[in-house]
Amino acid sequence: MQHNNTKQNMGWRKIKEIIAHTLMRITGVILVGVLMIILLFVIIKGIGAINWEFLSQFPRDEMTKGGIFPCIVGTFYLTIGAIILALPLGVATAIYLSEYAREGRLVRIIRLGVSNLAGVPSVVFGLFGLSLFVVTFKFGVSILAGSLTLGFLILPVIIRASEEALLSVPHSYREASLALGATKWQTIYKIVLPNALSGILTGSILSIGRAAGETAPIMFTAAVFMTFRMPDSILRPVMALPYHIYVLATAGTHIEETRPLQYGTALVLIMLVLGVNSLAIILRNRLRKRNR
Amino acid sequence: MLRESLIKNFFLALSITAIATLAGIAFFLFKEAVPTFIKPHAISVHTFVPVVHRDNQIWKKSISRNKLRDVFTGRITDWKELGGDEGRILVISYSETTPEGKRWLDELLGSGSLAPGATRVESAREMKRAVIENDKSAIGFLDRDEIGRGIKEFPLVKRVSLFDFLFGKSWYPPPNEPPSFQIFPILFASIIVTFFAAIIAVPLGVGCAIYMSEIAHPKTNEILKPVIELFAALPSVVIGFFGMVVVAPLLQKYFDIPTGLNLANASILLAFMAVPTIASVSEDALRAVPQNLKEASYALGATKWETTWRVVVPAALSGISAAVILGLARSIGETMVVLMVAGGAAVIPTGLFDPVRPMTAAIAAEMGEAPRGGIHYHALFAIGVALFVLTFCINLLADFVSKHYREAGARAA
Repeated sequence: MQHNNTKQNMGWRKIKEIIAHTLMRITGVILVGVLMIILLFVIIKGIGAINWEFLSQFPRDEMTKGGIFPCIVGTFYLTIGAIILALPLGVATAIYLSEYAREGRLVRIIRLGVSNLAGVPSVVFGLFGLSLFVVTFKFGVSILAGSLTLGFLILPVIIRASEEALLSVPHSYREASLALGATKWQTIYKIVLPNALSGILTGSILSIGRAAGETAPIMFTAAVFMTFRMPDSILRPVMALPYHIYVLATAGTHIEETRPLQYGTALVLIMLVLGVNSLAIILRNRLRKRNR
Repeated sequence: MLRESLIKNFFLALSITAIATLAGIAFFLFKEAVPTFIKPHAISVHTFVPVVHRDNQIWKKSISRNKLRDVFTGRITDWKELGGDEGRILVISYSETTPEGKRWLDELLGSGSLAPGATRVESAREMKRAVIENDKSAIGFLDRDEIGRGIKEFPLVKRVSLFDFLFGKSWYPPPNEPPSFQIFPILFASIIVTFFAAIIAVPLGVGCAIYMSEIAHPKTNEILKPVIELFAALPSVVIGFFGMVVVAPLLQKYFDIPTGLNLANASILLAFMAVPTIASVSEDALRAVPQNLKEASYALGATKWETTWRVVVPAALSGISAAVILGLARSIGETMVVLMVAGGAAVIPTGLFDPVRPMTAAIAAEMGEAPRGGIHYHALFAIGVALFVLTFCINLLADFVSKHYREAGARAA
């Protein structure tokens, strides 16, 4: 009886499977579709605004004309500053945690804390930067304060990615090296780091992309609406691409007139961030193949 | 050997620096948030503030609203009770018939009546003269802009209580007068926006994860995986911009509503920001389900879908839950999207198309106008602490859930 039932139902069960699989496939299609719509929209609307003048000049006539050169430079400074801070600190912390520190409760707590900090909202990092760098250290709204804030924003991400990469190097490599008489540092420097390099680099490049695209942490610490000159010191505020989009789209009296500039700026930012990310993805795939 | 230990200590020093600064994040947030509840802030009654003669040193102190009421109803009659030198208090008030007097007395005294010995005046000039003539004994009230020479504001202050801060319903930051810092409407906005985002993001994200791990051809995955990663990498300001120029007009047109910048718009966009996290973490969990479980299911005659739905998904359920929790943590903390498209009204929404102001948007939008060290500045940090604690707990929860899942998975295998 039971057997008979199953047989009769087989057709229906197959149909159910087809329906379910189609639904799952649709979710994938929706995702790809939405990404394509956003990208195509910004590209099509923005491509018209982009020319040499747009990339190389200052904004003019109350932002309605001219280019976004100071924003590009500002974003570049902020990102470079963040990576100069976060990369050495992050990698060193990861090396210490995975190679030197004795596995115990303290290390576990630190690891948990770091991975949770990676999930703390970026605007909270902005508040932290405002309180510590802008107010307490009296850096003011400046490249320095913004870079430090962005640096600490990506620090947990870099620590986590680097540690994962270091831990994925097989233990036998280390033992073989130590057995050959190498010191601990020689083992780390010559054996562990080269093998973990791809993972560390991928994580770092991804976080560069993140730092470049973040707006909330630099709103109170580094970015301003308009500067008339290039910053001549790291204690000066800057314009930045993401903040520029936000300001043009929400504030001011010429929102409609500056639409083309907004699309253009969004396109430049997307190109920058996606370029950096594609670089990381390509690098990772290449290294994955090599490791195979 | 010396070199080895030098290197080790070098790394130790750098990691201590990094971890100490990261721990400092909590410290600095709390340090700036605590004054909200400790430091009383000056308020006014409508635009009026209490004033005293310049020589009455009491103006260096402050008075609470209850005490001020007692002074004006005659229950407190001596300056000593307010912490000043001994001496009778002479209450000077606009008379009940003037608009100034009516507003002040109604607001401050409610149903009570003015002190028996009070002097009544009819205009700001008379008020100033009365205060100056009566020297140290006088207390009156004036519009803050009218305070002139010889007269000092005697600050009427209020302290924010933690309970009111968390559960009060009015977030009226300055320049509203009097300001009120109660975060319930914006906390509620954060939660409701995330809730609606989850309704969209969970089926999409989990569905996509199931598709990638169980159904799709590896070649398809080679496209889908980078797409998800690029999605996660899109700067939120660009997504917010897209919401403003594309989604908002569409909503406005098809639902015939006054503005497209509202709760629904924010939820839709946040959903797409949470999907990449949910999809990639769920996919890892689904792939970690041991092959032998699936094979056992096939051997019992189950179809592929039945195996996926009844065996693989339940086995990975804790991992999927962790993915969902992480995705939601990301939506709660997302700033630019809600700042640009949520509409910005700090009231409890009554419908899907009402504008709202979530916590992150409140911080980002108001910090620029809040004078450093003022009550508003500290209150915004207090929101930051609330946000920090909230996301930290959510992340811990996700951690706990996924650990649980790993153990359950190990047992199953």
